[in-house]
Amino acid sequence: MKNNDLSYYQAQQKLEQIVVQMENNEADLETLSEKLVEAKALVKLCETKLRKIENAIQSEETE
Amino acid sequence: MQSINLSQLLYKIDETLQSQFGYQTFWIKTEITDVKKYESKRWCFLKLIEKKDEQIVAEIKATAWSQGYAFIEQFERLTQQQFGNGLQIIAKVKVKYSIKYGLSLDLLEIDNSFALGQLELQKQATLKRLVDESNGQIIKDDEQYITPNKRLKLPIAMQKIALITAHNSDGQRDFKNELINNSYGYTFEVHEYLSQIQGDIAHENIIKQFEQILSSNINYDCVALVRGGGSETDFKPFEQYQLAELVAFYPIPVFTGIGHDRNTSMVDLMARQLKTPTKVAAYIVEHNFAFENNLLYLLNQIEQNITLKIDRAKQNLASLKRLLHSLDPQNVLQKGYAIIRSNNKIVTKANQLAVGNEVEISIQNSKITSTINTIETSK
Repeated sequence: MKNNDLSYYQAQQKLEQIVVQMENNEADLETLSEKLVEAKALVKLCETKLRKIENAIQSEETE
Repeated sequence: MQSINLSQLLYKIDETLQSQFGYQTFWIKTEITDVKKYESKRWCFLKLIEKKDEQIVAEIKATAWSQGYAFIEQFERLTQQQFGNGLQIIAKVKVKYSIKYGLSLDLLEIDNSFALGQLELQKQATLKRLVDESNGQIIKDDEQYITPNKRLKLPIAMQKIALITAHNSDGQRDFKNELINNSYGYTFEVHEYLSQIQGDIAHENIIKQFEQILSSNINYDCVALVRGGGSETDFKPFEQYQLAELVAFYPIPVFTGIGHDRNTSMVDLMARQLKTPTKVAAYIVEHNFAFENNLLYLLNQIEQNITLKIDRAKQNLASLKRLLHSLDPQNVLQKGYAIIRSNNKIVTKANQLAVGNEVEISIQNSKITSTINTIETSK
């Protein structure tokens, strides 16, 4: 599954996994930057999804 | 042959009766029938009868003139029943004879305490019968009656209403006005089932309307049985066993607004009693408002819940971002650390290198190539 297809909850879980791996030094320095790029993309995805949810709620409230 | 005129004979009868009864009065217990009231004149013509095994064994005409009529009016006010056929009364009467109109009794007074007692006895007997014959489904709890109809759960909102009422009556108007002009702007679908509400056979007509409501196969939310205007006294239809029983077991919630404050009829006891048509309509409107209010409360709860979840998600994301930042190697390099690579592999131990090897050193924003001159390992 591509990251873009993930739900907010799935994206958050994946992000948490990466952070745990990085914290536990499970990733070597070579793959660390790749993980970091993926983690940053997941953060962005989560932020976008949150913004969308907030906008949807606000537009419901103003209707 | 010697003869006398009819009038002469009748005068003799009159004299005999006068000498026997004169102005004497008698309290008699009797049933009344063929009641004809002339409200404008305040007269009432009726028959007094006595029955044995459902057969009339004694009968006489009677008249209530204005004095007796006042007692009839009092009777109706106190009992909330029309002074009509089939009632048992105790009345004070005087014998009257007219050579033209024959023998009759003048009704002078009515013992209303007897009438009230009789009615109450009848009512209690009928209520007992309702309970006894209900297979335990009608239960008397203190002064309340718990019936299958009262146990029916009301729909969460009531919009489709079957209205049983008299055509062009105050009750019909009051009920509809209260519904249509409700302050919340709710709309209702009211189907009218018009019926005679007063009189000896009114209960049969009302029963027919209840049956028609069921046979319509329309899913009504409730039935409103309302009455307003007309006689203030004729509640007899609502004291009938058949109607009370039908209401007690009716499968759609029934509200009654039959407009009497002092007494509660048997039909009232079997249904949800709200006294007047306006109160029935107001109750339905308020019931729907309570539903809407509950919905708004739930919506508010959901919104608060979502906001809380979003806030938590934001906090969680911010904390993950902070962690990522601290784990980013670039940030480590910013602090003066370096990464050494030899043959494109990161060097973590000195034994990976030998003197003369070429290494690549990564520092913040730069790469440096260097050759190993000496290797010293710390103890």
